[in-house]
Amino acid sequence: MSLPDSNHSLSDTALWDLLKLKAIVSHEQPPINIEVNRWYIRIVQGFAGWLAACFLVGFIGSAFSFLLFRDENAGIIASLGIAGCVIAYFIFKGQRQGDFIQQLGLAFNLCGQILLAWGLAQLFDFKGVDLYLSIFVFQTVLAFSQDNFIARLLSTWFAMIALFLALTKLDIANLSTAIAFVTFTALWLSDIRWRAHKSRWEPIGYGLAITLLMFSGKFFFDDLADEIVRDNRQQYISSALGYWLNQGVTYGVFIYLANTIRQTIAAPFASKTSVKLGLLCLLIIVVSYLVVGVSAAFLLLGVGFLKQNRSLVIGGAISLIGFISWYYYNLSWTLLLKSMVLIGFGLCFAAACYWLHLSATAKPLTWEVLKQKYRFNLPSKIIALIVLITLALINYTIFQREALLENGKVVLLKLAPVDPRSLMQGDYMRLRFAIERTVLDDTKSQDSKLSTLLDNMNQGTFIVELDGNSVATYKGIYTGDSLKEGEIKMQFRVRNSSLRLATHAFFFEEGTGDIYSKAEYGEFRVAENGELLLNSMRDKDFNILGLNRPEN
Amino acid sequence: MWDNRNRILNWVQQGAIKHTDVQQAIIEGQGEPTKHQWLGFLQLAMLWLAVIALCSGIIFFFAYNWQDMSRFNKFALVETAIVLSCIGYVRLSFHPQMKTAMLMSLSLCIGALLAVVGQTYQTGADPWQLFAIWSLLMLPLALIGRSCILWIFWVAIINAAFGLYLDLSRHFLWLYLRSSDQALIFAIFNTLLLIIFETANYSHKFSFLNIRTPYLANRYTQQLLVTAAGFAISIWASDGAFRHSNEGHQLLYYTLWIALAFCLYRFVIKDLYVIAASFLSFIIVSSMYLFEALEAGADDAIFLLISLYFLGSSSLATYWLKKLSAQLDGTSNPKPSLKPDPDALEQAQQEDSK
Repeated sequence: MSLPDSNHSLSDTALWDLLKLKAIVSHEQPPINIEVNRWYIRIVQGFAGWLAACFLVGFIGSAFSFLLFRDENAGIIASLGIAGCVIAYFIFKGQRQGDFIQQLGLAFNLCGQILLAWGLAQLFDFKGVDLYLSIFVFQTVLAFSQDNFIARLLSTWFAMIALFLALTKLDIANLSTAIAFVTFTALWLSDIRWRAHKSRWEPIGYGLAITLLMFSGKFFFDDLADEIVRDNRQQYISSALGYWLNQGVTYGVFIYLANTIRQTIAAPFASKTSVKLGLLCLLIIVVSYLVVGVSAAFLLLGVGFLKQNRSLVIGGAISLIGFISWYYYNLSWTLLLKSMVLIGFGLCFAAACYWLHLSATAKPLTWEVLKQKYRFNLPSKIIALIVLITLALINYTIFQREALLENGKVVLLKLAPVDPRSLMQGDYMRLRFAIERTVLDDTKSQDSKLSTLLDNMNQGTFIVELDGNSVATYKGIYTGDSLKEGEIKMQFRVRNSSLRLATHAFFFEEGTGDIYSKAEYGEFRVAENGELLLNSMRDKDFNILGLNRPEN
Repeated sequence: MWDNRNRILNWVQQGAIKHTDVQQAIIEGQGEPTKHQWLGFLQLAMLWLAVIALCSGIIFFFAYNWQDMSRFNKFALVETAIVLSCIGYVRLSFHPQMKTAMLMSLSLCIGALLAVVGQTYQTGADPWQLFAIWSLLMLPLALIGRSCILWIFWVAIINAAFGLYLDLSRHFLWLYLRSSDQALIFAIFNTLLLIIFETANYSHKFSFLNIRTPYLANRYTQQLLVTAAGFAISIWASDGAFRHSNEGHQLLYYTLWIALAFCLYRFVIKDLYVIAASFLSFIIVSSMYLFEALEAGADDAIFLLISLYFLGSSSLATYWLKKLSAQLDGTSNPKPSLKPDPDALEQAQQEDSK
């Protein structure tokens, strides 16, 4: 496989000389006087500015509380807010480079926004759409007028959130995701046009990126939206139509991006490269349809690489991992189906990777080629050794456990009642055993030496006696004496000052939880040394309800 | 490659390049990825997407806990995945990117196997044990892999193990901690790891150590460790602000730690990110102490004072950071790059030409 070349960074001088060579520029390189602000410096500024603004609001709130906490004064609060933003506007416009002034302006800006939102929230009905529309308009004005990177970014973000909430309130299906996609792409792809005003559009671009991720994630938003739209009634555009419109716009944006890429690399429409791009685009679209949210991550990656913007690419990569982790919790499909989807896509991606490799080098990975290239050198030997050791260790553990299950003594422990709401936790069931209470009570009441022993250790052994049905009754803490006839010792652990016997979770197949509501006993297999394994759940007649792992 | 477009467009904004020449400047100045670079990027993306999709598919499959599949079949399935990854590594390790991807998939499959065994046999082992064993098994893989992606993943796993061991997950969410010493232990742990990694990175300065670690040069791993350690120690220090019985020793140790970090990363290892993070942490923690100290006295004015304190300290910090940024640019602050390990690159090129 060959690697992309020209991967190293050119210094400023080298780049300028390159341009000089191509007769694009002729004079000397200008000094870089545009402030290079790293992202972490901006975070320091933004964070501190936010906290300063919050405390400022706190000050105003407590100092003028007689004034503010009355409804009729909502107008005053709102005007204070606007005043704060106007002051900030003039501070920023002055373009004074002093950092304290800039931070002050930022704090006034944010404080003003909070006050205005507070005032408007009192003026308008919380459930009405006017509140969110007015905030949207206000934030948009701020985003364009306030001449400060962080202020613009935050205002863009808040404006889009307000738009989302406004659309949710209106009887129109929520197209905010589509709007976010379109505005983000339109802005970044036309970056040449706005470069004369880079300081204005760049923060807006990043604010739209954050919005894009947030809207695609939806998990945070849907809850918030539901809170506000509790009584949602008929919509002029149904939510199904809205969903498909959102999807359609998303796919359209991807196709447009693919086409733009094709144009920048000057590949004619029907060439092999275009076909590759088209097919990859199609694959991305299918993945986006099935795994919610990854479309935003892919868009960030694609646009970021096209515009050589490292932040966007890294943001895309991190959010991709986040969305896949979130996919785990998407309850509308079973995990089995989701895993099949992922494996299917994995194979498609691997095939695509191999296809791209073939087209780049025309060297198929046949056995002969591999044999030539690979050498069983030292690293490979070590890895192979590690794998063998790992497999051996783990298989030995499996063997041990299986032996315990086969040969261990059967002991039934009665379940203690658990808060039924927390009983089923998705695909496992929480357990408590009545005997744990008994053990704890015993140690606390009697021998104080025993109870202090219990406080200090985090595991121990106790003794039980089995009756005819193999149900166990507590006999005492094991103190090292030999066991009498019919007695068994069992290990326990102490965690968070409560007892834990082997496990407090019983795993079952996703969706089969109802069977276990009749469970009354947990069946353990106990080894000679007291080691336990939870084997199954039994009902009141000691019938097996289900095993704690698949039946062989 | 990464900064060309940005710099060219900055020059356009300054007026050094005429607006009519912008398009040409970008093309000639390598401000847009070429077809070759696109194919390389797409290939890399497909590779990693394949690894992530396949491994997470496997993990999801076992999380489903399908009762119809016997447990031995499940073990066999995961172990086959491990063996396949191993073979993939051995066969494809001549290529640096494939090598890392295969090792990552091997690590994920080992983790999946541990999880399946834990899920199958409920012995009640503590959850941290799974992560601890996983990180132990992954350690040799990361050492051989020589890639910062593997190390970052390893750091995440070992922190998960340690964090679960200390049962920290509850504590991090509350400011009013019952016992915040666990945050301190967590911070010390990450600091130790950081020392190890930094020593490895600069080992060429010590004559008795002979490890070459070019893959640590982009500093992402160290910065991640610093973030974790710094976050934990800030939580520990800020807890000291709200517990009235302390003698201020938490503030003292915290300040020592920050001062040490600052001196190290300002004068010896020049890493601006760490300095910025330590400034931010100091601003927030000191403001908490200030708030506590003033709470008795001033009433409403306290909010104003704290607000001014934030403004003052952050502007001072920003000014200083910008000055440092200008100073350090061009000295030893390397631009983080996404390119593969250079000597492996050389090796691959030699192989390619054969």
